[in-house]
Amino acid sequence: MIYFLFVISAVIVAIFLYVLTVQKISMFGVMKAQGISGGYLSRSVIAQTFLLAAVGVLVGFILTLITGAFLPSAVPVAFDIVTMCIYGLILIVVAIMGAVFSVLTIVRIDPLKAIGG
Amino acid sequence: MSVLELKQVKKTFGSGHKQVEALKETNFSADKGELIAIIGPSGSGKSTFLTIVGGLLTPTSGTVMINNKNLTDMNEKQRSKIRLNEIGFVLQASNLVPFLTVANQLKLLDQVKRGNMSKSQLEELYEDLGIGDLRMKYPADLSGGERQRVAIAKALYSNPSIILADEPTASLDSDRAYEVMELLKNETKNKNTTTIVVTHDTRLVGYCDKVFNMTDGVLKQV
Repeated sequence: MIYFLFVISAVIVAIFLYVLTVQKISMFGVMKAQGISGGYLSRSVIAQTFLLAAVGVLVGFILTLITGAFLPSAVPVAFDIVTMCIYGLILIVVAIMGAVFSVLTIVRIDPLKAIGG
Repeated sequence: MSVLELKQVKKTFGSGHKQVEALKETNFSADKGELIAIIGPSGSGKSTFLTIVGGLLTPTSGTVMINNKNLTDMNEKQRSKIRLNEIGFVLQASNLVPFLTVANQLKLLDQVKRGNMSKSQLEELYEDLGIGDLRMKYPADLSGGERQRVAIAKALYSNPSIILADEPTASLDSDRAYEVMELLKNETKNKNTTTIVVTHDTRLVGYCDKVFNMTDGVLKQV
């Protein structure tokens, strides 16, 4: 069950990142025309994805703990910090794998199209 | 010595019946400190010419030399480096990143080409172009002329030997257009760069050292 959750969230995160990239295609093209290398752009996108995913996981973590604190004592809940950390890391890794898809698109952008020549 | 040299450069698109010769065999050279205009109607091949010079498009045949380096032999990675170091683009849809302030636009270039310009040089650039007060603004808050000036600043930032401007005055009224041309002229002379302006705007001819006419892929000096 929980693995399914990973697959689904991986797909959603990947699509989300891809949309973010597609929106900026012409801008990436312009940057490439100016001689900023595809490698630099790809590294930036992956670094930004890492930040985004790390912050996302952290916020999720905090919200989970807050929810746990407010649940009535009749509800049996227990948090295993180690498991949470592991799953958090997996989510970050999955997000970065999603970003790699976007990187493929960025590498293929033709700067000529961005200029409209 | 010429900064830019094109030898028997030709570009054809498509094949068979649909083959179009966008640029017929062209020889062209440009020296330092020259402001050159290429004038022609849309579809005459002037954009093709500019993109070939800028290393964005590989010619079908012929060689392009920038500072004695053969652009046509290079792979995309090497050409990207040439574009970063030797060429500054000023595009008609000005090449600004919408979510960065003017100061950050230039900072982005500094990240890629570290320590390229000292603080005082940067101040000078701001001053020369009269964009010092705009540095905290976003492109959307700038007027067309201001945006074009920032685009020129961006093109000049890497101290290029060649500046390629594609319709830099499109969407500007006459006064602003003259202002932008004046600026390009000054920068060309002060920094001893070569500037090629592609335009269909004949009002700008007076600012240029050499004028070429482009019709149906044939380049002729006027």
